Amino acid sequence: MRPTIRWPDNKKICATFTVAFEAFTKGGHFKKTKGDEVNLVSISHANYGGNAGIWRILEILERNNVRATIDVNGLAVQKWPDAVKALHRAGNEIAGHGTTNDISMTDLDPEQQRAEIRAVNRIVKDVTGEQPVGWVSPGGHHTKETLGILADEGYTWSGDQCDDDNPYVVEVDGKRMVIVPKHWYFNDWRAWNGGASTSEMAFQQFKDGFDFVLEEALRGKPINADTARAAAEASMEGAEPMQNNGYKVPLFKAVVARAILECANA
Amino acid sequence: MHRGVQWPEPTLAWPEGKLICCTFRVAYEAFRKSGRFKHTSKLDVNVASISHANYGGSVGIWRLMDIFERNRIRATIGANGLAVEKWPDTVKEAHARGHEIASHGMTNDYQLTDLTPEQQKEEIRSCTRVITECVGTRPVGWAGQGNMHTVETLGVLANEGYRWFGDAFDDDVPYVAEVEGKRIAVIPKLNYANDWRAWSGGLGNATTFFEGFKTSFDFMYQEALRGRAGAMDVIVHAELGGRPNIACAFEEMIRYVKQFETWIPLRREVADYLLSSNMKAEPYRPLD
Repeated sequence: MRPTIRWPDNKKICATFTVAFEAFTKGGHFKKTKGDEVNLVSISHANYGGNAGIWRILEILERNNVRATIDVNGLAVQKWPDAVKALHRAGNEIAGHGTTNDISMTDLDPEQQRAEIRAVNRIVKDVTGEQPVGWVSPGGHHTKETLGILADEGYTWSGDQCDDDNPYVVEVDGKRMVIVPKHWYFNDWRAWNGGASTSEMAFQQFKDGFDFVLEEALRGKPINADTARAAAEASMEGAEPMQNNGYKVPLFKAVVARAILECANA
Repeated sequence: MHRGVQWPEPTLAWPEGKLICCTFRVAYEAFRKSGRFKHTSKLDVNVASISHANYGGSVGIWRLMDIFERNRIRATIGANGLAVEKWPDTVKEAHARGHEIASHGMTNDYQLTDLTPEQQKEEIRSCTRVITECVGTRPVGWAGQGNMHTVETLGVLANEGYRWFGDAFDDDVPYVAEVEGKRIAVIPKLNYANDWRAWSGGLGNATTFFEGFKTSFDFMYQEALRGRAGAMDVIVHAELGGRPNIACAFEEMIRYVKQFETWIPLRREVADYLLSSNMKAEPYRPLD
């Protein structure tokens, strides 16, 4: 059986927030066309990321006092070094994401992959003073050699795998490497690309998944003050009081928590 | 390469301290071979598809003008030259009611990326001529078919006397570019509020189309209240958003933004505001 993970301070869920900060030389996600010609409208859409999007995200992170992992294309670092410096200064992690999203690791042989990884290391280090320790390949595409090369080049985690919820440790070429799987379901690509989806729909999908995982985390736990409080919080999730009875929400939570503890002790 | 106008520090404010500039647009299109509906490569001329597209000129454009009238706003109508030729009465009427008629290429059967710079110039001149002959005033704004363009397009437009360009997506708010020694306003498009998304996404409906717009507007309004003026652009196609299932969401958007400190200009007026301001023109280098 797999060893179970425990999070620090007995936290129930580990949530990581990731930003893909990308740049293209031929064409981006928008109005993708076939062929090798330069797609100007697509590049214009992609440049929004460095001109407005990344700054807005930085502000959201600061306003909510959280840090994120920023997967950067080397080209994005070269185009918008000020943004990457500001992100790094604010304590966010800068991780490697190829030199540009025009190239997939699966287009490259192992030696070319190594050169690609080294190029990203150098570009990021030039701007932040630190080499990245995490890697996510463009599009998540990788070959069976990719992980070994990353381990060899000083990386400690890879985010291309999708085969589990929780991270795990693998050994490759005699080195230990942490796999932090990606949850594609909560990729904004889905919200963007799926027609008239709204931000509420994207949020609701995330919330449904989060609640389900939280229940899994609580299930089978001993009943104590911590778990009783978490259950009480969950029971009142989304409760919206009327104008003059807002005090009832915390009151009700306290009643639920106390009832659970009294039942457990009875 | 362009840099964000409002990030990291805001540099643009709207007239009279308005918080958000909201432009409402109609894409008024016509096709010779096939429109968006039941698009297929098997048929040379797809009559069912053209029938769907012709709804834009026979019904959609009238309904949209009715919505603008009812809510007392003026809109920017990007017309294919062929649409102007097919339905001149509608274009004359739109112009008479104070809407802006902008160029959207001759037909949506092809794009500027299919043409050489010389052919692009011909295309742009044809469009300018057809609109001028119909309404008596030349168009000053351009948004190309599918927004596709090449590195040469902006220079050709500036040389042909155009004052705004609508095919960029690299900012929320407009900016001034310098190309061929001329200044031209670049007014980016927000593709989120494009009825194409509501129409082509299967489960899209008026409620999700409106809700998606509203949450974006609310978010941007909060940013504006914190000191960063914003812009939203809504575009419907006469063929698609002129139909009742989407037109109702479009009208809901207009009613919604009118409750706030919103500036609702023609795009031509946005260009006038920028070009007469002291905003620095940036050299046009889209591939840097």
